[in-house]
Amino acid sequence: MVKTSTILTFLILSTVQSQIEEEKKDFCNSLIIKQARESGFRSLNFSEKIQYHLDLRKCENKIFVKAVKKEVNENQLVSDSEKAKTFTGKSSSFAYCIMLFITYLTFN
Amino acid sequence: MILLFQNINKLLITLIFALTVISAQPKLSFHLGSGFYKPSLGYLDPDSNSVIPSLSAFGKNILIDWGVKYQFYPNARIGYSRSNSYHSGKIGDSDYFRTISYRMITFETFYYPRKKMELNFMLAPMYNKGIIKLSSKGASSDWDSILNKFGNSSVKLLTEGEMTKRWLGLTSMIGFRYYIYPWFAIDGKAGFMQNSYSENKWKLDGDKVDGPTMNIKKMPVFKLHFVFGW
Repeated sequence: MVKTSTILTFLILSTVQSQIEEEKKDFCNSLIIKQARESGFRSLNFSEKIQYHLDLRKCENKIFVKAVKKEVNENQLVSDSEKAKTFTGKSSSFAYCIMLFITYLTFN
Repeated sequence: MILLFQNINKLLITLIFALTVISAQPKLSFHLGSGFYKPSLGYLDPDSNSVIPSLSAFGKNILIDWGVKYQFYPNARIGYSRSNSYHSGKIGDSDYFRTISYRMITFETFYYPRKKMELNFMLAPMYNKGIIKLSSKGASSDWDSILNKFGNSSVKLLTEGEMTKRWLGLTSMIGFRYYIYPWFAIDGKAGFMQNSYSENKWKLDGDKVDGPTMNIKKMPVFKLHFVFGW
């Protein structure tokens, strides 16, 4: 009886331990972090952005966290600059008007 | 009737399109910073008015800025921004406090000539406000006579008055922004601030009075902002 209960306790504890370890791993590779790495930080909504930061904080591999942060930031900066690399629509006309106006004010 | 129905339809389609654009690209930013300008504060500085307390460069040339902007299009932002100039001191026994608030609705377009670097062009109609406030603590003989009857000693009361003036203006600026992180950038701007200010019709307790003869018609302005975005 004692032997059986000891084996059972050991089995339960080892399962719980493995689950905890898996959860620890999951923080580093959570769905939110994957989404941020694949689709960019701005693809996350407000609550997901908070979750992203919480997951990064809970992730124990700090070198990985640093690398993810750097990668997501760099990708976001590239994506932002690609999106607004040139003027589209009437935005260039608006900019030219301001340039002309400021030039006029400078010399008058 | 049909015309009205068509108009409502058009309005609905425009609204849905606008909402889709807004919700698809949410990018809200908040900025804090300061500006430098050189106004001629006629009768609001000690050089032209001996009553006014001494004025440092902070009170005369420095603006404290803050604002919120919303990027509604890949190249365009709209927002509300404020630049304040403060001066405080003592006139006799009274506390003197002067504020000039340049309040702007900003329209800004921008593009990235290189990664992390942004050039922006801003036009902002302004609705500005000037406030001159005096407050002092003094004894009131009438109050004292009543309070004495109740067995109290003399009490000093706060008396306060402020004169205000509102006027319109326009700001046009060209800026350069450098992104350190996607959520943090440093933004420098240069341009002009134009004001339609006149010294007449300041308001003091409902009365119209003449105010300082500031010459702020056309002023070059330089600004440096720290931008935080989401």
